[in-house]
Amino acid sequence: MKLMKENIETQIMLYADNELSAGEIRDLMAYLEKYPEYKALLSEYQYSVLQPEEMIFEDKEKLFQHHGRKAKALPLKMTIGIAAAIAIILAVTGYYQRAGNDNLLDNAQKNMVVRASDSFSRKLETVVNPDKSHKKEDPAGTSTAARSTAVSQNITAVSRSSVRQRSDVALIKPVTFLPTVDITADPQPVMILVEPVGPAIMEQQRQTGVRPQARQPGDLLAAQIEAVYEQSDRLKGVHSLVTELDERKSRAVDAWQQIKNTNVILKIGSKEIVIK
Amino acid sequence: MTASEYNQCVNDIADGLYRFAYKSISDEEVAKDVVQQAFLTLWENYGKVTVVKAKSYLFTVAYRRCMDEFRGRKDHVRPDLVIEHLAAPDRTPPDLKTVLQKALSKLTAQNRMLVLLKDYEGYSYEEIATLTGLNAAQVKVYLHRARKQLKDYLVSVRHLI
Repeated sequence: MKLMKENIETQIMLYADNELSAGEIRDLMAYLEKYPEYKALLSEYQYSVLQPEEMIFEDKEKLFQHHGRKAKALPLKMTIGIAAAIAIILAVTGYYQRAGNDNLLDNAQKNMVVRASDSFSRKLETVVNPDKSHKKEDPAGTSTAARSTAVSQNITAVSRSSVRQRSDVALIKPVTFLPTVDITADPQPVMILVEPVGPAIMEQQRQTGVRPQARQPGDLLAAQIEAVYEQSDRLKGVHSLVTELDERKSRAVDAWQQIKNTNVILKIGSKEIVIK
Repeated sequence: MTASEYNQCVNDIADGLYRFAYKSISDEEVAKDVVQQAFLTLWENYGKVTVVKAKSYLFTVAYRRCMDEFRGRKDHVRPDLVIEHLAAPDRTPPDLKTVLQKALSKLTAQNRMLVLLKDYEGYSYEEIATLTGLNAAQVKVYLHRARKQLKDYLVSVRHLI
């Protein structure tokens, strides 16, 4: 290429970019010797070339791979994203679990009856309040939880009368998680405590009149029914439920396993009952 | 490519790749992310990429990743504005390196990366064309345009000083 005024700048840029051949460089130098006014332009373009600058990537360890293993290094953004997602899930789970606990304790303090399973409560209610039970069958717009709460209140009403005769009874439901509960804040704590004793032991109780200490997992439902049966003439029909409910003892076993390691402190008047 | 060859690539290329990414996008964390993604991609394709091609492969991945980053930045802060702000209280004349970095930040993202590939990595126009997916004529035009911008900025600053 013949060098001239029109293409000298391009050639100088190519020179600065190290894109010229040896012959082209010789031609350019000869031209600059002939026209030294372009030497300044050459200097300016040479100054525009970035000088070497060392930078160290400090996370090389994350990039190394071992033979036969696939890459494990995750991009930083992805790592942060995964961590954030886990944090959010944990936070939300913790929130709802805490809210669930709060609701549970709140209901326990309001009703003073921690409910057994919803279906069990309904059946129990049928026996306890047969004239009201049909109203609870299909309450308009009420959810299962609301219906269950209403049932619990009925049970409480029955329990209140029974407590006059047995001040140390309370009904404990099998719950999945139940922290230590202090219900002294309630002015009239009314609960029915039904100890989970087996039928044989209950028979022994009838005969001796002494509350047995032995507890047998799985008998909670039977004991509940028995206790309620003893408290009201209106519960005569409860025997017909025993057989059916007996089949569900296995559930009670599981529930009992879950609550038996928790402490529940009940205070009835000045009396304090600790259930471990 | 074996694992040991790959690890050797990490030792030999990671620093330069990080410098390229960091100078391109002026964000340390994103630059690290770019480097990690590039090497992750290389490792996932280690059976297809030879050691000789590894460097250009890595820079190709990094170049595309940086371009994606720029496309995703709708309202990113231009690095030159930050530099001007930081340099304002300092009355001492800036050195050539500082001025060049400022001039570099005024280029378009693509032109800046072409200059980085040319000056820091020493790639030829042809190699840059292969690496970026442009043709050699485009690379030459873009680079000359960028080079002239850098030169003009240097001259203007020299006149100011």
